[in-house]
Amino acid sequence: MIEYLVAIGLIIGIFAIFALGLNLEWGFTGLINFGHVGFLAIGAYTTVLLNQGGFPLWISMVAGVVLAGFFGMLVGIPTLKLKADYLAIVTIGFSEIVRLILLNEDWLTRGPMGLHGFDRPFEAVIPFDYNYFLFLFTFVSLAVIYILLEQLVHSPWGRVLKSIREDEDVASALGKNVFSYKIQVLILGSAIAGFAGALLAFDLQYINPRNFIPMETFYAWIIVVLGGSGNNKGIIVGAFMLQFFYSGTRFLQDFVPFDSTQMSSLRIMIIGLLLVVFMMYKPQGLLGKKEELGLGR
Amino acid sequence: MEHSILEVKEVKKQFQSILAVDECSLSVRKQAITGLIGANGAGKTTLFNLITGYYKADSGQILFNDTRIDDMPTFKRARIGMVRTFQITKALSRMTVLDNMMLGPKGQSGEKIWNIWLKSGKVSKEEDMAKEKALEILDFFDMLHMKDEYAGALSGGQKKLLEMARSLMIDPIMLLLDEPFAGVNPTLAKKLVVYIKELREKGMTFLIIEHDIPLITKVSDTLSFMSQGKIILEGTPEEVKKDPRVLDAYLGGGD
Repeated sequence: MIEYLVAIGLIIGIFAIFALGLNLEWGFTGLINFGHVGFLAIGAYTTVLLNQGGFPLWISMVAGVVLAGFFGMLVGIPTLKLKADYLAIVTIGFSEIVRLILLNEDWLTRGPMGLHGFDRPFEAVIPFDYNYFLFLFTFVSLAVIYILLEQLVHSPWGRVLKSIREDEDVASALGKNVFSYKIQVLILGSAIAGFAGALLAFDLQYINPRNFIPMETFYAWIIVVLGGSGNNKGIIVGAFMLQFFYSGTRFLQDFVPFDSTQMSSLRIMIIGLLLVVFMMYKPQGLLGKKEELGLGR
Repeated sequence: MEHSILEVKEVKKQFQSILAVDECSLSVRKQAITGLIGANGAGKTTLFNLITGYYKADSGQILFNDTRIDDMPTFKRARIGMVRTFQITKALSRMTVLDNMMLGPKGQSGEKIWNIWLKSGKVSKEEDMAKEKALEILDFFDMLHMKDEYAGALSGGQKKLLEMARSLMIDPIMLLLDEPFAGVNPTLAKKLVVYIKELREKGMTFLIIEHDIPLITKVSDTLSFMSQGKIILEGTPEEVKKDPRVLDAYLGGGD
């Protein structure tokens, strides 16, 4: 049982980190990123490929994070000048391009066969079950990222982000370089996703393009909306909740007379239903502020 | 035209078939309060948008303090001291009144990401100063008791006031106000008139769009009347408001 909980906890921690990056973009700055998974993939593949290419693990990880941030910047430069929500379209396109490259460039990524056989942090020196260590490593990282993000969003820098979220015309009327802030946010949010990608690779020990389908992005969105957008604590709670809905419904198997194929389809419906019901009663998310919902522009 | 701070020279802006601003020229004297009046659709707000960089002019020049600013992005125009408010108020709804205010000051160290950790002392000192100033201005605008409210929860008139108060946080050289008195109660509007004049004495320049002719007459040194994308009349408020074209536009709105 404890192994099972640790395994689930790992996924929760990784997705909480992944969603914190999205929350910085959407919850605080109002940027619609539908391709967050693309940066998760870049982080994971870069870490693994460089490590397999002989680089020390920590350099590979740093490179994964930096490269994810760099691609965040590349996607942002042409699109963030545009006012409307073109970013949403461009990012979803970008994440699919990333996935298709990973799927088709066999010489580099082994395509659909995926990659395995790479180092994991301190694996050689951990005397106990490695998953326990990875669990600890993930949650310490989560705590550090959470604290840094909290400092950021409560700073004058974060105040500018919120003003861009509310009305970017005001931000520029007050002398703020809106474009520069959006780029910074996209770099940071993508870098965080890249880091989550490295952790995901360590957890799975085997990565392939199927791990990086668009649905992963929307899991992050579900977490953000469940927990309360613009609330970092809410994101962590949201990650727990999504996994609770997701894994909790597995145990229904014991109580219903369906076979496992029927049950797995039914489960998805039940998860959807739970989300709908939850949103009806808590439209602002678990830790979101209700009074913010009614405030128009 | 000595000591003009803002020079608009034959600026033109066309939206598809509508010529919103038609080779319009306008000169605003330093430390003066200039009123900009005209019927709806005359091009006043478009002219504001051109001056502040929200639109790019098709042709013509705009000079601020003898520097050409036509190609300067909006945020840079704000940084060199030209700050505006909006006709349809833009309160930052899901931010508190105080946060709205504290966004104002320019050159805040804490707006650079690394300084949050590298210069945390300086950042928090600046925050304290900004807060003090914000509370002072809010107090003047009778809004001190609302400092922790969400800006989105304010009434229309209060949002107008907040916008103007927020602009003052930047210490602008020139303030462009788009209908600052619309929806503000008469007592406070009169107080604002006095305050604007006080700020002018301290050296600030104002360009104000306003439909309330008695109020704009009272506050302005000169009035410019705009019609079909052009300034067609300039002069003292008394002269301008007696002009038949102005009377016509306002249908007896000038007394």
